[in-house]
Amino acid sequence: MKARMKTDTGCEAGELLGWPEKFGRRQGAAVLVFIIAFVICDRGLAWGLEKMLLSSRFRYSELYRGNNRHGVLIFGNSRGVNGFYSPDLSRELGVPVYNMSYNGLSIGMAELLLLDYLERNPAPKLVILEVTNLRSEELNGDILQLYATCSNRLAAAWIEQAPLLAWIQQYVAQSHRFAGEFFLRVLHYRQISDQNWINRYQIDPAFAENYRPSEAVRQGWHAPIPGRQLEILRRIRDLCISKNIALQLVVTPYLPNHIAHLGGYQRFLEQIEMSSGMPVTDWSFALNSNHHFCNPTHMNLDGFRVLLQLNLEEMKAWLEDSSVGKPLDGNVARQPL
Amino acid sequence: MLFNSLIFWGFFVIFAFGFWNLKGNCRNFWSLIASYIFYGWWDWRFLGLIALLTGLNYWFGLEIAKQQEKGSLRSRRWITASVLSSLGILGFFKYFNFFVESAENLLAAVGMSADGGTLNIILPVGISFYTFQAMSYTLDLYRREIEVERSILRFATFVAFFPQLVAGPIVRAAEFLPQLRRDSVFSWSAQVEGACVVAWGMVLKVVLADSLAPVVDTRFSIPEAITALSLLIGVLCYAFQIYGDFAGYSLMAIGFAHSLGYQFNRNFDRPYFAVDFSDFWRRWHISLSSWLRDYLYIPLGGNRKGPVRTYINLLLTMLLGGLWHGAAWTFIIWGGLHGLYLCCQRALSGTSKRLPITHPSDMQLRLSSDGEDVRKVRDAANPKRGLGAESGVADGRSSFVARFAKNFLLLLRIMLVFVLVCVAWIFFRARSVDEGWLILQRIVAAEDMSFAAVEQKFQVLKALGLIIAIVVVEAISFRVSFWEVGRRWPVTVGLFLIMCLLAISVLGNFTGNAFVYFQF
Repeated sequence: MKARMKTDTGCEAGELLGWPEKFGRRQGAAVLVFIIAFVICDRGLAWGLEKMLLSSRFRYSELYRGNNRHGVLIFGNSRGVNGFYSPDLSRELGVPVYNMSYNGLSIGMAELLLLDYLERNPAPKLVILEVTNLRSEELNGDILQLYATCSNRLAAAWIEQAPLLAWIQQYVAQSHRFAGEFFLRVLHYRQISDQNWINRYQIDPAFAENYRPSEAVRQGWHAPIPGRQLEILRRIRDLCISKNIALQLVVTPYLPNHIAHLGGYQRFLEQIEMSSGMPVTDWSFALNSNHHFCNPTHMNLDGFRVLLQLNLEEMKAWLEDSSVGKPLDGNVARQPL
Repeated sequence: MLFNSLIFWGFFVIFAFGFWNLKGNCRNFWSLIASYIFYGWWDWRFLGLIALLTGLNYWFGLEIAKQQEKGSLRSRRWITASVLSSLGILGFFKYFNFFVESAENLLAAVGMSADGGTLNIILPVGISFYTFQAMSYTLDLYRREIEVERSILRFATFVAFFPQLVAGPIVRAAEFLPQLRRDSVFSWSAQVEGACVVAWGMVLKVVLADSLAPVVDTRFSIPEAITALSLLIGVLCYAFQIYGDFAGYSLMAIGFAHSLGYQFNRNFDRPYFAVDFSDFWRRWHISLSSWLRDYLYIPLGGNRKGPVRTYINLLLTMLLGGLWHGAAWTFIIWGGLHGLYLCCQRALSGTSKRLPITHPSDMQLRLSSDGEDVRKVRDAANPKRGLGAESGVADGRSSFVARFAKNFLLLLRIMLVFVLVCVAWIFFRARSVDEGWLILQRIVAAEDMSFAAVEQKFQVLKALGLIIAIVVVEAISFRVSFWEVGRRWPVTVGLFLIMCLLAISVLGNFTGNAFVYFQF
């Protein structure tokens, strides 16, 4: 009789299902069928999800579908998302404005998206770049893996960034590309535009009043911008010049108690201006009321509307003045505030 | 080396290949080497610690047995030495700084200053688990519940066996040592069963717990800037994050062991369906709660020494259970709250009706040896099944209204227990007692309950969807046994595995989140 383990609970390995014990030809065939069934289900699911991805009205799905005629494109991280409310901007500027910003979008990612955009869509008149994203170096894996099948550029970047994962997503589980919050957004915006993103709530007044950025945040601004990031910025500048697109570098407002305590902030702007030879439109101190923010680093809709009224003429000038966005002559010396 | 990492899967394939090609002591030696590699992967310096604990308890075990054979009372001295040495090692690595700092704070509070001097001690992963596991051996031996283990190889394998080494379940010597004495036989059926349990564990960890983690982390990192509704969502998500994380790990450990022919008892059994707090502790971290019951609560006198001592014993057991989780006041408050809940429950009510304890991954589901249908066996043992039936309302003569009312009452009890368990989770997760209190105050004040102000809306929606899905699956599992369905329609097992793999692929979060219970 076969020696099998039996605990005091009366359970034995292999008895729960009560299947045959030995691994024979039938079991081998069952494993093979299982693998084939998994591959079919996985590929089928990935195919269906890909269809949903490309039919969505999510911002990057629109980009890769092509033939968009946007007058103004905006790139930035979450501060770009909350710094430019494109429905209001489109109405006030009289041209279609499209916000391509996303939480954590780095300058490198913005460059890849801009290159892909220009290959698939007519060039816009103006590109606005919220430059606080120069502090993040990593490309956004969510965007890379999801749209890798739409762009060789993204696919190559994804393979370079996560070779093992890219291999798994290509050969083992193709549906894994759709894992993550990003694809949920794609699904949510299947029928509706995602250009209404902006936070609409207000920061807790007591919290805002007593707020001070942490030491780590303050020290972070003292660190020099990596040369690779500045190089990307220069490439974007040159690309815009070659395509006759005006480029505007902007910093959107911070909560007064936040920006007032960032010691290295002026140095940060100087590095950008010195490196790119372009002025940065600094709105970081533009809003004085805490009510215009949803948290220390992001405006809310009320804040954006106040900011728009304050700077509408300047923004209109960006569209009308062809010299705007071109590199300045000589080095830029930033005046201390 | 995490179960949800590729390196572990490579490691396990190599280990299993060697395991099935070896027999007897060679197999145990292979298991021991693999277990030490698994543990040393995290920090090799602590291999000495686990070896020391193994050696000490092995030696104490031999001495206890020797004294017992002689009929001498000296075995009492040896068990005392064994418990003190194990707790001493645990205390030094886990609690030294905590007690020094607490003493300093206490002295400062009464106007005295003292500098006890804390040490820079790294907490070894899983120390609480393998210490308690080793202690269970000497304690059971002293109580003459098991035989002495004379093979140091087998004993070392029992202490260090890698599937449950770092985060449980705490496997008793009486349960595991006899299994190590015989060679398990490769079984196709056991491989599939193990794969199903591991797959479900992966779903709980990678899909549920790791998807909830970012939602929880945001809310508990800056609670002062988060609205009441958002904090409430954070607490709800944490309740399921820690469940998915820990139950997932336990299931994977049980599944890996199962595929190797070893049987470990289940560690979780749908705890959030508990109808009272003693029921909760029969369903949550069962290996720890039963350990505390058998080696602490009952030796303290249990409920045999009058009501006052019973309350004291309950409180003490739960306070120490809280302290077991970590050297912080937040854990002590968590344990104290659960002790308080149990005392209140005992004071307010007598017995209560409970939901049946069976689970899709229940490794203890009995099957009759002659292959009799499991349903018949179980139904014979428990003719009334399901929510209503357990409440005694399945009788066809009961009116619909009466059944509805009783089921509704049962649901209310489940929800009440869940809410109070969540209150305790706040302190368990908070970085300090003050912060836990702040979160609780903000939630109770309910000042801003607008969903518009909730952060990470998409992650929150995904989290809530996953929570609902898990609750529904677990509710269904009260009615339908996964193993029964698999026996009748084998194709459903394949479908289950494919669905788990696709869920892990599409919904899984692989950002390298370590298991929460590693820190304990």
